[in-house]
Amino acid sequence: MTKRSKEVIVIGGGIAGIQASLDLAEVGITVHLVEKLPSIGGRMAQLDKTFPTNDCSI
Amino acid sequence: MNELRIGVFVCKCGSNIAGFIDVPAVAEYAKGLPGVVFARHNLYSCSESGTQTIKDSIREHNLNRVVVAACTPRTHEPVFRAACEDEGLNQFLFEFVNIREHCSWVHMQERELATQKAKELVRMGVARVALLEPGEMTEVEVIPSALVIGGGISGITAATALGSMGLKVILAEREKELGGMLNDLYKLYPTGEDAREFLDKRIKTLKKFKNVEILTSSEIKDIEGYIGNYNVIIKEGKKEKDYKVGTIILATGALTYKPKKVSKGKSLFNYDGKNVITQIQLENRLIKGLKEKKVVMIQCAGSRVPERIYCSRICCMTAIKNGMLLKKANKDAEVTILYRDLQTYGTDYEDELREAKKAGVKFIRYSKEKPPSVDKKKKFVSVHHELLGRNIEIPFDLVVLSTPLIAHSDVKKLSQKLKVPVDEHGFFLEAHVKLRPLEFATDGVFICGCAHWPADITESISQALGATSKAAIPLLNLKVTVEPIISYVDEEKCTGCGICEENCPYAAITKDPETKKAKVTEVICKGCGICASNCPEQAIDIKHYKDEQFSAQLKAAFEEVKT
Amino acid sequence: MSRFQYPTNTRTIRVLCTGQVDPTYLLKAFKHGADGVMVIGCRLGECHYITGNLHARWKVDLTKRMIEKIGMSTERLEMRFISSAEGTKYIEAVKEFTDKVKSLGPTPIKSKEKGEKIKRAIDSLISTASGYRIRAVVAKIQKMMEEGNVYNEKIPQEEIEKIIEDTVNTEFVRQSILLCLRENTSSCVKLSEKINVSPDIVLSHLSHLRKNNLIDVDRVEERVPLYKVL
Repeated sequence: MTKRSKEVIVIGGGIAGIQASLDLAEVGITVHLVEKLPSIGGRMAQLDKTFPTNDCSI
Repeated sequence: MNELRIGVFVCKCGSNIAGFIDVPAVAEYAKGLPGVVFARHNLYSCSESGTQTIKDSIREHNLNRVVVAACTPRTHEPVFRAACEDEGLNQFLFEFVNIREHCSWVHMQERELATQKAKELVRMGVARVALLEPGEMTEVEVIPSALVIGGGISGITAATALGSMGLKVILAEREKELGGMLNDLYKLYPTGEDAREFLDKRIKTLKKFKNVEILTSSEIKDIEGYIGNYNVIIKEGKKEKDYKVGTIILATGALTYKPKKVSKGKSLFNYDGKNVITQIQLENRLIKGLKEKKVVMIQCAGSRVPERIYCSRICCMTAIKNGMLLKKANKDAEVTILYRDLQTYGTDYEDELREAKKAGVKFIRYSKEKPPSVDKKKKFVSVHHELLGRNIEIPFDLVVLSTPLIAHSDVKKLSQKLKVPVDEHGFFLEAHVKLRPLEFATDGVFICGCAHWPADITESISQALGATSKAAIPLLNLKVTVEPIISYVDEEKCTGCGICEENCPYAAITKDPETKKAKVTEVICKGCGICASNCPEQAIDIKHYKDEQFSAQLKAAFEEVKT
Repeated sequence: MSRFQYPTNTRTIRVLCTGQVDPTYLLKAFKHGADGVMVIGCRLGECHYITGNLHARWKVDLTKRMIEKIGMSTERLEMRFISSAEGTKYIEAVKEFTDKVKSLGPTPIKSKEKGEKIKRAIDSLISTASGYRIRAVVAKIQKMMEEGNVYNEKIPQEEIEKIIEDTVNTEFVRQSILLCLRENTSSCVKLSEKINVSPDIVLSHLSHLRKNNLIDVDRVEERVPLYKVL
């Protein structure tokens, strides 16, 4: 692969943004996760449990 | 061994635990347990300040074992393990006790008894943690190439994406042509694109990548190995060849259910493949041009019934799309869709439904108890109209059954070769429906498209891309780390009887030809423990889930309580 | 909200897969005073570790036969197959089981007269379940059911059950004898009274054990041989 900037900006820190950032980080890419609220987590952080397994959202 | 210094942290989880359990009392009780030198309670143990408290306590009290009594290890174990590691405490010296899902949430009306249970669960955790041993993650080298099984739209997408990353890819399709189900489709929703053109475009892009090897008329003969080092034997035409790959993506798709033709008696809605056909047969006829004017579609034909309880997801949109196409091709066409429920989720699909209604496609609801019946002699479909409260008869030239997608009949063979599970309907079963939707418990194997669950093209492509990015991570890193929760053999006790080898579902344990003793291939072992419970000499144990650890936990569960 | 409630008198122990569930674990739970033990695994055919629950099924079956030998109700042990997405089924199973166990009353271990005796009997069962013979038989079952024996003969389930039953019977008596002899040297008749098995059967096991160099005659008192453990 050619040398290029290995940095990515992910806009939005909900579950989709977090998962994307994690997968990118796992291959050694520097990720800038940008979220407009004071904390990440988005909708998911407001939920209690999620179906069908009833895992805790947080 | 050094003196035991166990720290216990009991979490309030806001009011999730503290609302139903006397958390400070549990922490107080823990202080008196053998080996415990420190215990406290936290408001939210998983928060930054919570983990900081744990870290500070490890340092200040020189803890060499940690118990957190909180929620589920499934989601939160990594957080606390990391906190331990940060303080130089091996992560396997940590034990998670679940006092939320298994206690506070399920015993909300019984504070005293729930508190008692929490104490006992903590006691069991403390008994176990005392016997835990440190472990190290194992690192494995990875061959930077992937195998994609199935050359439908999911497989094509996955192979293209992997190819574009510069990775070596083998795409194995069992038919002569790539494309899978797309080969039989006419136009696609919601864009109205021509299926053939769409597919040709995708195949053309795929073929640009020289690092993607496409095998057609091929069959997976054998798969051996583990994440990073799979050895696959594929038969293409008449010759067999060995391939070495690091990860595998399963994209074998599904079939559409075709009702059995019955010579005597009744087939499903009188299906005959001529005047009563399936949606996919309709698509085929649409390619050639359709003469019939009066078309009645019956939804949930063979799905959401006791034999096949699931919803096939794609049929509502397929029927609406085909209804519209019929109307567009012939203004006088009369299209009636008989449905049980309609699912047109998302932003585009509901619009399509509105458009179809505007264009004159009729929608009539029927109930499961009073399904429509097809009279081929009189050429009408009779259905109980729920709003009119009586039967109505709808004349037809053609009846189209929206039959569900079903799993391939030989899915078991592949699932055994790959050592991954399938569900009762023959669809592959992911490791966790939300946390790991595109992965299996077997590391290095991923799933996308209809092999997993009925999915439309958009969903298949998204899943394929998701599976690709997951499958590519180890390939790009060139290494993976594996948890050491695996079985190990006490060679002194082992007599080489071979029972473990016979029964290991992963072929992870074999008899060493030299020593004649059982030997575990660590990266393949999943730690299921079948070998341990079967070993006649009790020579096998599972690291981190050892016999003595269970025994200690069991004993602690029933000790008399002095509080 | 789906926070179903179930009885508080249950304690959970996590195993990675029911495949690891060893009959000795189940017996130890009873020994320590469990009124009932429930093994919960994936749905049949949907095991996340492929075949774990199939193996567990036989271990549970074996353990049931064992506790029956010592007069404990087999209803105190149960295996259920529930997927991780079936919370309600889990609750139902736990409720049903606790109700059933409640109706059976507390474990005989807790009884003042019989408690100690049953505890000792469970110890014999644990030794039995740790023994080579019974473990080898149970471990072979799954394969035998699937593929037949080494001669490729398919073996009917009743036959397999009979094999287990017979093995449990012999091994249990032998282990009980060994356990008694470990405490005191004893004669055939006394052993027979102690473990409640007819003297002729005890004698045949004694000669087997002696042949295998596990016991020997310690001394002869009034023309009655007394045995000891080697």
